Amino acid sequence: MSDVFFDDDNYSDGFDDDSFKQGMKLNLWKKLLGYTLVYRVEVIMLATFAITTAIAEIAFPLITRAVIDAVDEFGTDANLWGYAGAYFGFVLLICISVGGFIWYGGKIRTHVSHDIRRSGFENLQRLSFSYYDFRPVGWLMARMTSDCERLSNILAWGLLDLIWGITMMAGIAVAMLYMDFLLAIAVLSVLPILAWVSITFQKRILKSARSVRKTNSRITGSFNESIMGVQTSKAFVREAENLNNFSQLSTRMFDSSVLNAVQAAVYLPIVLTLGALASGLALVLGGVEVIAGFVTTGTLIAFLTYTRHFFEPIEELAHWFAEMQMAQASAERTISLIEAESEIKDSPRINKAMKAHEPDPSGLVAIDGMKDVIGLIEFEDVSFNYTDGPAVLKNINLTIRQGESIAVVGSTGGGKTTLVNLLCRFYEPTSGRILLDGVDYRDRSLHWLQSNLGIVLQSSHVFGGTIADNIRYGKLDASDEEIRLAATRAGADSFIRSKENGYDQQVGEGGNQLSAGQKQLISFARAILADPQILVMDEATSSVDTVTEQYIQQGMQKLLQDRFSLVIAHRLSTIRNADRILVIEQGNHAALLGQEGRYYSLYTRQSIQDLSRRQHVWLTAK
Amino acid sequence: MNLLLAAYFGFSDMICMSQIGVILIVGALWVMGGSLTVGTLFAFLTYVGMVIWPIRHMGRVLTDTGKAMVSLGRLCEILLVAEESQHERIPSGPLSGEIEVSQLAFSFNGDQEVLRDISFHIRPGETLALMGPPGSGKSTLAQLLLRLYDYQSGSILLDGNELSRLNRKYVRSQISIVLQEPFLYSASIGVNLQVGRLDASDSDLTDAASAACIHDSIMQFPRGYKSIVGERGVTLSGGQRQRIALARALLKDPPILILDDALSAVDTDTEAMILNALRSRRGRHTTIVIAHRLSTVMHADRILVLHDGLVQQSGDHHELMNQSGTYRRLCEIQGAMEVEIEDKRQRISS
Repeated sequence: MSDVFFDDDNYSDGFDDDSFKQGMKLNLWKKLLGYTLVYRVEVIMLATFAITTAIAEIAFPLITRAVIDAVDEFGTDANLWGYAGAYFGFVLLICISVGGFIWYGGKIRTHVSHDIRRSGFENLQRLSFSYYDFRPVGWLMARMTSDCERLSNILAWGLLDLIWGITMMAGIAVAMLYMDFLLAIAVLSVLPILAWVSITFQKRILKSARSVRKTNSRITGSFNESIMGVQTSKAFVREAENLNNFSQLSTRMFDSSVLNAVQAAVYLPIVLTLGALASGLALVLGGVEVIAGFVTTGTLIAFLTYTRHFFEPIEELAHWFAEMQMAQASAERTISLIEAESEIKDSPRINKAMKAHEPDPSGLVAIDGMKDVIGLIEFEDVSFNYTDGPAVLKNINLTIRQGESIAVVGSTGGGKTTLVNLLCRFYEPTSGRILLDGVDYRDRSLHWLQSNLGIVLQSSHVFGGTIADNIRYGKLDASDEEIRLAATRAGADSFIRSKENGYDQQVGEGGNQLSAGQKQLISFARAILADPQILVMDEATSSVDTVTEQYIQQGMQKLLQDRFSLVIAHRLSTIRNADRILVIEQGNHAALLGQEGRYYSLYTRQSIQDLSRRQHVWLTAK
Repeated sequence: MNLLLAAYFGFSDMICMSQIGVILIVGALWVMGGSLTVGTLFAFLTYVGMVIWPIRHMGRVLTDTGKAMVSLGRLCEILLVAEESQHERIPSGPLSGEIEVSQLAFSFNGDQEVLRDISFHIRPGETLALMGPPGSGKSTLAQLLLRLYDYQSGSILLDGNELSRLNRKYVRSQISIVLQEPFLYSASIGVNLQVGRLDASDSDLTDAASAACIHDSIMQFPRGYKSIVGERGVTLSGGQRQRIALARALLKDPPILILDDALSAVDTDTEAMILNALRSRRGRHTTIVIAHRLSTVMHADRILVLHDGLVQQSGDHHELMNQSGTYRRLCEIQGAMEVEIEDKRQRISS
C-alpha cells in the first residue's frame, strides 16, 4: 500500500512544476529583487563596499608588481616606502569594506526574509477558503520557512557576490589587458570553455535540486500529518507503516541530495582545473616573454596572481548561480503563494467606495458606504459546485427575514455546510445570486459582511492562550464582565469556573486541554460576544449534551430576536426552536416515518431538485 | 549578531592582509639585499595566500558551529523524551471483549481528577453507552482503554488481564476507535480504509463501507474508492469523514469497538441505518458508544451517565427512564415525540 501513498500521480500539492519553464526566469528574480530594493540605502552601501573590496583586491598584485619591478630595476636604490604606504592604505580599505558589507548584507537579509514572510502570511489570510482545499499544511509551512530563508540569503549575499565578482573580473581583465594584451588574451581564452561547462552543469544541477526541494516539501507534509494524526496512528498501530512511508520519502530525499551534491562536486573541480590551465598558460607564455625581455618579472607575477584570483569570483558566482537555480523552485513556489489571487475579493468599485468612506458616528453606514443593518437575506437560484466536482447545491431559493431562525437539516454530504459557506462568502455561488436587502453581496464589502458574521463550527478552533483570551477574540476590547456574560449565555460559565484558574486557565496549544464540547462552548461564547447580525451554528452543539444545550437555547432566545440565525443540526432538540426548517437532501433515502405531524416532512424525501421545483421548502415549526 | 560578524571578518581580513604586506615589504628589502630571489618571494606570497584562506573561513565555521549547537539542543529535546513502554506481556490470542473497570481514577496533570471512582462491567458482545456534559470524562475513558494514557489508581481488566500490564500495541490492535473528528491520511479512500486491515480484499472494503453507510457516497465520487482525500479530508463532509472512519474501524473487526461521538455529524436517517448494521453484527464486538443523541444510546445494554468524572447513573433505557435523574430529564427534553419517531423508525427499518 505504501506505493499508493507515494504515487506521484495521486499527489497534488497544488503546484504544477511543468508549467514553469526550465532555465532562469528573469521576471521572477526581478520581482524578488523588488523586496531587496526597498532598502535602497542599504543596497547602495552594500554595492559600494563590494566594489571597494574588489578594487582593493585588484590593487594588491599591482603593488606587488611595482615593488618587484622597482627592486629589479633599481636594486638597493629602490624606494619602497611609497608602496608600503599604498599597500596599508588598501589594507585599511579592505578591512572597512569587508566589515561594512557584512553589516549591510546581514541587515538586508534579515529585513528581506521578514518582508517575504509577512507578505506570504498576509496573503494566506487574504486567500479564500478554496485555496486551502488541496494544499497540505506542510506544503505551506515549507514555503514560509525554509524556502523563505533560502531566498533571503540569495537576495542579500548573492547580490553582494554578484557585484563583487563582476567588479573583480572586469577589473582584473582590464588590468591584465593593460599590462600585456597578448598574454591577457591567451589567459582569457579559457573563458568560453568555462561558460560552456557552466551552462551544461547548471542545467543538471537545477534538475536534481528541484527534486530535492519537492521531496522536502513532502517530508514537511509527512511530519505534519504524523503529528496531526497521532491518535489515529497509535490506535491503528500504524507506527511501523508510517515510519516505512517516511523512510521512503527520506530515502528519496537522500538520493536526490546525493545526486545534487555529486554534480556540484564535479563542477567545481572542473572550474578549478580550467583556472589552473590558465595559470599554466600564463606561466609558460609569460616565462618565454620574460626571457625574451618583452615582459618584466613583476608583470608575470602579477599575471599569475591575477589568473588565480580571476577564477575565484567564477567559483563564487557559479555557486550563487547554482544556488539561484536551486532556489528558483523555492522562488516560484513562494511567489506563487504571495501572488496567489484570492478568488473572492472586493471589486475595484467597492475598494474605491471603502477608500472614500468617512467614519460614520451614527453607525448606520457600513464601511462600503451602504446600509449597515441587514433586513433581508435572499438566495436567488443559487447553485454551487466545488472545482470540477458535481453540483452540491442546485437552484436554491430562500428568503430569511431579520429575527428569523432557520434550521437546516438533511443527510450528510447534502450541502448544508456548503450553504453556510456561501452565505459567509467563503465561497461564492457558481450561478445565481445572494442578495442582502436586494443588493448582490458581491457588491458589498467582504470585510463588512464577515465582521457581521458569527460562526460556530462543529470542530471549533481554539487558540493557545487563556480561556478569556479565546472568548475575547470575538471582540478585542471586551471587558471582563462582557466576557463572563457571553460565557454564561453560552452555558460555558460553570465549566470555566470549575477550572483551577477560571477564566485565566491556559487551554494549551489548539485547546488540547479542553474536551471537544468545551471547545464548542468557548467558540459559542466568542460568537455571542462578537454581537453579529448573522449567527451561524454549524453543528455547533453536537458535542454538547442535551441538558447543556437546552440551557444554551434558553440563553439564546432573547439574543436571537433581531438577528438572522442559521442552525445546522441533526438532533431534533437543537432545531425545535427554529422558526422554519429547511430540508436539503439528495433524495436517495427511503421514507421511514409515518404521519407524525410537523416532523414528518423532515424525514420525507426532499431532493434538491424538489427544492428547485417548489422554490423552497419551509415548514413552520411552531 | 550582524555587527559581531562584520567586526570579526573586517578585523581578521586586516590582520591577514597586513601580514602579506609585511612579507612583501620585508621580502622586497631582502631581495634588494640579495639574500632572497624574486622567485622565492613570489612562492612565499602564494603560500601565505593559501594559508590565509582557511583562517578567513574560520569565522564562518565558528558561527555555524554556534548555530548547530542550538539546533542540536532542540533536536535532543525531542529525541530524549521517554518513549512509550513496549515490554509488557502479549497474550497469545485475541480478546473476547470483556471489560471490567473498578474504582478507576485518572488525572492529566496530577491535581485535577478527570475520572474518579468509575466502576462498570461489560460482557463480551455487549453495548455500553456513555453520556454526560462536556468535560465529564467520556473521551478520557476511551483514551485510557487504548492505553494512550495510563491510569493512576483503580483497575481496568480486559478478559481478566490488568490493562497496564498488557502490551500497548497488542491492546490497540484489539480495539478500534472512531473519533468525532476523525483523521484521514492524504491518500485514497481505499488506502484510508485499509489502514484498518492491510490485507483486506476489495469485497471486505465494500462490506465495511456498506455497514457504515458510506459505500454509495464513495461510488458517487468520480474515482470511487481511488478518490484522494485532501488533507484532513476537506473534500468530504463531516458526516462522510465520520462514516469512512467507522468503516475503517469495522474493517479491523476488533473485539472492542469505541465510537467517541462518532456519529454526531451523521443525520438521523443514516445513523439509524448504521446502528442497524451494527446491531446485525451484535456479539461480534463489545461496543462502547459515546453520544448525546438519545436515538444513539437508547438501545445500548447499559447506559452510564457521567458527571464531573463520576458515574451519576447506570442502567438500561427503561431502568433509567423510571429513575428521576439526568437521563430522564434528557429524554423529556429531546421529547417524547422524538423517542416515538425513533422507535417507529427502528421498527420500519428492521
